Amino acid sequence: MSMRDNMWLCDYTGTLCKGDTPVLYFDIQKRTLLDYKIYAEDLLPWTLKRFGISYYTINDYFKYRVVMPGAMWIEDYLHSLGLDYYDFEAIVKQTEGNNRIDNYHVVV
Amino acid sequence: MEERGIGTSPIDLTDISPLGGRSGTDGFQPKYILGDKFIKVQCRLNGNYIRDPEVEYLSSCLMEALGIYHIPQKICTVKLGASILCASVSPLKQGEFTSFSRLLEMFEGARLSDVGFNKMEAWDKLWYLASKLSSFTGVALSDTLSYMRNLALIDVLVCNTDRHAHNFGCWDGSIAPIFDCGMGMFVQLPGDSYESALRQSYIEPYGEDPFDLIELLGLRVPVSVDLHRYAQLCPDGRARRYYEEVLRHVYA
Repeated sequence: MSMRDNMWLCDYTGTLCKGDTPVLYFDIQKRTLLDYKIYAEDLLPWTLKRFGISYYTINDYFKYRVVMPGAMWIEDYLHSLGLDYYDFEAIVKQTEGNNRIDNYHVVV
Repeated sequence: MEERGIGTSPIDLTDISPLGGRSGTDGFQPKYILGDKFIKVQCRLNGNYIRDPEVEYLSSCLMEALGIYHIPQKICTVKLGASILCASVSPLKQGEFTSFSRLLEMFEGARLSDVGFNKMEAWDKLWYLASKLSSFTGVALSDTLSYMRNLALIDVLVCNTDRHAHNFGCWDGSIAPIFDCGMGMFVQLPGDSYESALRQSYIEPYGEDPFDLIELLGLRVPVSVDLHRYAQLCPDGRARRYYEEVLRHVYA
């Protein structure tokens, strides 16, 4: 099993934006994508464009935008986020899904 | 040869908050974004900091000389609290890198180990990876073949043993520039002799000895490209010995 196998969003509702532009609204409850709306198809991240929109693809998108479990200095990182243990959903929410490389982030 | 480092004083990362500075990318090493710079702190393995930024820089110079599409790397020092560490620094490239393993999982729900990859011969492995990458992205097969060959070439030149399926793929659906070449030249085996380190070094994802892989894939460097001048960038004597040996093979 890889370190990324147990990373699931349970409840997360928000709008993925590129800069100030809304791109994708999503409503995830109990690990189910209840609703979504694409505001700007041309601005969808390549993976969501290519793989389509589903709970699994949205979850996968965020999975690769956070510091991974077991990374170097992860304890310090979690501590500075106020977390006692690795909590994928809490990290996504606190960082707004922003990996700092592109301008995508979530507005709740 | 280009200037290897940037500036003389350490870049202070101490006050960069995790939320604002540490980048959430795939991978083990801490990465920070500072303005238009992407900074990857040297790797700590088994309690020791290793010299991977020097191998990143060497690889970057080699790829520049060979005309291989890559993310240019330099070396810098960073200050984190009381620690001064080495790091590699590159221009920030915006966009989304998608690894081969992620593509395979999303498109086919599989991992390399599921598809009998480990049993394939080296050339079949290269062909498999290039053809899948082409079908996943729509990039021409000739381009993905060239990409895979370039990866194999730079990895044997610096004996990079870390080209697992998370370390190559596409960038926004196009061929990705090559990056992450630092785990080479035996830096992860600081106490081993040359012979011992070489015996433990296999080029992934082929799982082959570097000199065998050169022959299996027919990896060659044109004689018009002089790579000997970069020997001075090797981090230690073992690396220089390997580099001289590998050049004899790729120029043969």
